[in-house]
Amino acid sequence: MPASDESAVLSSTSSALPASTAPGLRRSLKLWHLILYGIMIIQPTAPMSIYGVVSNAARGHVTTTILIGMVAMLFTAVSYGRMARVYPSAGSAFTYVAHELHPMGGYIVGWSMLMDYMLNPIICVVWCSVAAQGVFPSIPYAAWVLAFTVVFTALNLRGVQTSARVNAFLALGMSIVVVIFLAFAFHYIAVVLRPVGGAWLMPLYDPQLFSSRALLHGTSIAVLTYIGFDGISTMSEEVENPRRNIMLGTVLTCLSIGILSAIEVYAAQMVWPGRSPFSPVHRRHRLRSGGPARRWPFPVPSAQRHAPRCEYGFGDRRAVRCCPRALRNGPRECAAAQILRHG
Amino acid sequence: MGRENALPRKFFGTVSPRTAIPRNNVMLLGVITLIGAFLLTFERGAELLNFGAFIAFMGVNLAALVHYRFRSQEKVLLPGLIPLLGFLVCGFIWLNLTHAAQLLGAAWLVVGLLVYAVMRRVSRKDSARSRSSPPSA
Repeated sequence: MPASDESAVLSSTSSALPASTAPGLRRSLKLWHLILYGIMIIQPTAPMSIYGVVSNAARGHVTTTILIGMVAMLFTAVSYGRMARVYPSAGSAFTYVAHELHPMGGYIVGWSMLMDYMLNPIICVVWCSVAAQGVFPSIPYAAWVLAFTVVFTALNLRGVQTSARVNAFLALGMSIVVVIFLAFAFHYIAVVLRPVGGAWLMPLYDPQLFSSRALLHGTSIAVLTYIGFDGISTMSEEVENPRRNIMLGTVLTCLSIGILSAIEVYAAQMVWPGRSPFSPVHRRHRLRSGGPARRWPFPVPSAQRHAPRCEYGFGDRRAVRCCPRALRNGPRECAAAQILRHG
Repeated sequence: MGRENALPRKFFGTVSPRTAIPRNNVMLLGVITLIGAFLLTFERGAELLNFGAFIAFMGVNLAALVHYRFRSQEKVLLPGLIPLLGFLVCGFIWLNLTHAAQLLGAAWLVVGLLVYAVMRRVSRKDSARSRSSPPSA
């Protein structure tokens, strides 16, 4: 078995590996599993961490930037879904580009993705440290950076299984945060603000602040919200009717995240309009009051956990396939990939 | 990826035998995170991340365009238009990143191309050596 697997991978054809070579693998996921999983990877609170930055860059208009980003992502999601059909077992942007366009192009894409795998934990640590310093200003930034990095590295060294379980909790926690936030925000809008007429459209278009340059710059940051949606396209081997469901799952995940995020930032903008930009003090105040919040440390373990696995995958592609599986099933399958490699 | 050996396999492919966790990777990433957190602001880091991600997105759109429009017989809805629009919208957003992020990203790509050139030279030497001695299974 290992020998045939080896040759199948090395020849890098578009044919799927026989499912029997992967132990304990069943087509057990339905479409709604995929979408839930996708929302979990991207995280329901995704737009909260970039809200302040985008609001300053786009001069309000955060909702608009999220929606423009969604257009780009929906087209791209269709392309990911289609390419996952062609390469069902080795789903990754660099595989697609290397085989369809040019190996060199594939390398450039892979190299860019490597940069992202390193940046992901960096910006998470930066964000957490800034936020934590906002709550405890007497403790210096450097101490927070050190503390967060050590904690997340230690979590990773202990193993994925812990993280996976922790992650399900965090996703639930984040959803509760989103629900509470929306409830408070809409209550505030309906009872205190009572917007009339054009005021409802202010988060989308504010003629006093609008500038297309600022809007586009804001969009280039706001698309961070969607990063990670392509993770679903690597799950062809585990989903029922993958030809249909991978495509639908990827597109619907983008759509759900886009709409959910747009609602979140719309509410935030109504409560905290673009005309009053964010200063560190505001940020601190917002954090304390739990207002149009900044993302609290929840999401970090997941982001950093992704990274080393996938970087590992960069050295050995078979590990890329076991990556999303490992999120749910723990290290067992990764161990299987190891055995295949050495056996 | 030149048979996915783009990164030295001995270091990056090593996993802990007990837990199957790529220890070296995790530790290295911890060190990189520690350094990077002092060099980058959240905003710059996010922009740079988008720079990389959008290269991948544009690539996937182009790959889908080439495959379904020109190579495959399979009928799909608007095989040319959807990926073309995806590519254009992504490219447009990519071009609207700040210049600082674009310069940093471009520098990273240049480093990547240098690594690629070096790796190719090394692997060519390796393959020349293995050709002279019979490969072991």
